[in-house]
Formats: sequence, structure tokens, C-alpha cells
Amino acid sequence: MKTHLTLSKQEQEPYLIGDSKVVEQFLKSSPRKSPFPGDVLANHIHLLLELHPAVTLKFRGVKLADLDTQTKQSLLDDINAVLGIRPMKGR
Amino acid sequence: MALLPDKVSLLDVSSGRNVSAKIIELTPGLARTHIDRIWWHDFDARLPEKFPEDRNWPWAMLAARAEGSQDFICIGMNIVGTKEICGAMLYQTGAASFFNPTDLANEVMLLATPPTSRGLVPANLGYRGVGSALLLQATAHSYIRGLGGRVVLRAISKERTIQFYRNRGFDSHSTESDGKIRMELRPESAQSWLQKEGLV
Repeated sequence: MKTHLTLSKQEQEPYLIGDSKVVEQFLKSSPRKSPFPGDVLANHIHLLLELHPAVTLKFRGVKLADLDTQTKQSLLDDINAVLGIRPMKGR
Repeated sequence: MALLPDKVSLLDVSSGRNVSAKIIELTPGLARTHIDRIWWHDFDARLPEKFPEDRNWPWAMLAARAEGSQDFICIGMNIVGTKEICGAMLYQTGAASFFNPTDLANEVMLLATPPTSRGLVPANLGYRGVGSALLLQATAHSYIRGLGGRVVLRAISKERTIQFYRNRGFDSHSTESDGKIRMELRPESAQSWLQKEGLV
């Protein structure tokens, strides 16, 4: 990512967004926790399925967290293909 | 953040050279020692009487609240090879679009950089590219979560910053009672920006 290349000298990029009200409200809130602590792929797949209820999976008694990394990656590739999400470059 | 590119090249204003930086998940410990106790500490005496609003934002507490959350992400920009944090952002996945509330977006709730990077101290210090890269990260995250790259935020009403958003395809929606402008990056513009930066 070469972000400075698309930032001209005249441009003022954002240095501050939000206000103290947002801070207060967020600190009072109770964000729900990720269902698979420390498992980035499983959490991502879980959230994709939640955000896009039209995409459904049948696990046939197997738990998402129990799948190996390669299987989870294949599953994610399939879901991405269905949703039209292209792979991110440079990661 | 393994699902997203995390390496960034920033411009070090004092040397005029590029430096490598990395977008990291902000832990409460790092936020406490490298934002809350550092960013404003050395500049208090030199700042105007009315401090900027984020002077007392407790990033360590914010990072603690977001830690392990499914919907809120707190990230920081770290200069590689150091523990320096030169920017921080809190955003939410699954917020509502301003234009069509049934569409989902990533909402940038808070973003801040140290006073050195925003002209509050009379020296050529800080880095350029931090705010842009953090915003781009929220856009990329929206894209990989199938939200098309849609991002919403409430912008401070400063003409040059608003122009920055417009240059990247953000549309103004409305003005809130405190003067902040609701802005939204819609999928077509988001993907055009991601392409321009070589991410998709």
C-alpha cells in the first residue's frame, strides 16, 4: 500500500474523526465478543455468514473451529466467489 | 489483521523520506504507553488554551473495550522497528448506510493522529499518509466483509479535509446539529479507490 502516492501536497488528509460523545457511548456499551477467540479465519467466515444470510452452509456435525486452516481458507474462497469478493492483493 | 494488507509507506515530514509502517491491532498496553502517555504529553505548554477535543480520549480504555469484539476494531499505525504509534482508529462493521439504512457499512467512529502530524506544533514533524491509510483500511475491511467497501463517517467541517474525502469518492449526506457532515463512500467509489491503491 503506497498511500502517500495518491496524496497530493495540497490535500489535507483526515487527522481527527469523532467526538467525546462517541467515546463515552462506546465505553458504556458492551460489544459482543467474537465466537472463536484468536481464530481470524473462523471469525471472518462466521461474520460473513451473519452479514449475508442468503449464503448458507451445512456443516453436517462438524464445527467451524475444528476445521484445519486449509479447509477454512477453501471455504472462505468459495464464500468470496459467491459474494463476488476478489482476493485482496499485498497481504 | 492477516486478512488485509498491513504494510504502509508513509512520508516522514522531517526527513522527506519514506518510512515503513504497519497497521496493527491496538492493545490496551500499547495504547496506554505509546498514545495516552506520549502524544499530548510534551506539547501541553505549547498548545492553545482550548485543547483539541481528542486531547483526553482514553485510547487504552477504547482498545480494551474493542479487544476480542466481533463488530468493533481498534487499530493503530506503528512505525516499523519502533514502538511509535502515529495514528489510531476505532471502527464498526455492520453500521447502517446514511443513504439507504438497509445497506450495511463500516463506520469510522474515531480517528486521531498525534499533534505533530496535524500542524499543532510549529515544526516539520510527523508523517503524511496516516489518516489516508487508516481510512483505506476501513474501506478494505468493508470490502472483504462483503459490504462493497461502503464506509460512513461524520467529518469535521473543514473545507480542505472535505475535499480530501470528495477526491476519494465520498458523498455528503447531511449536516448534523454540531456541524459535522455525514459522508459516505459508496461501493463503486470504494472499489475504484481500492483499485487505485493496488489492493484489488
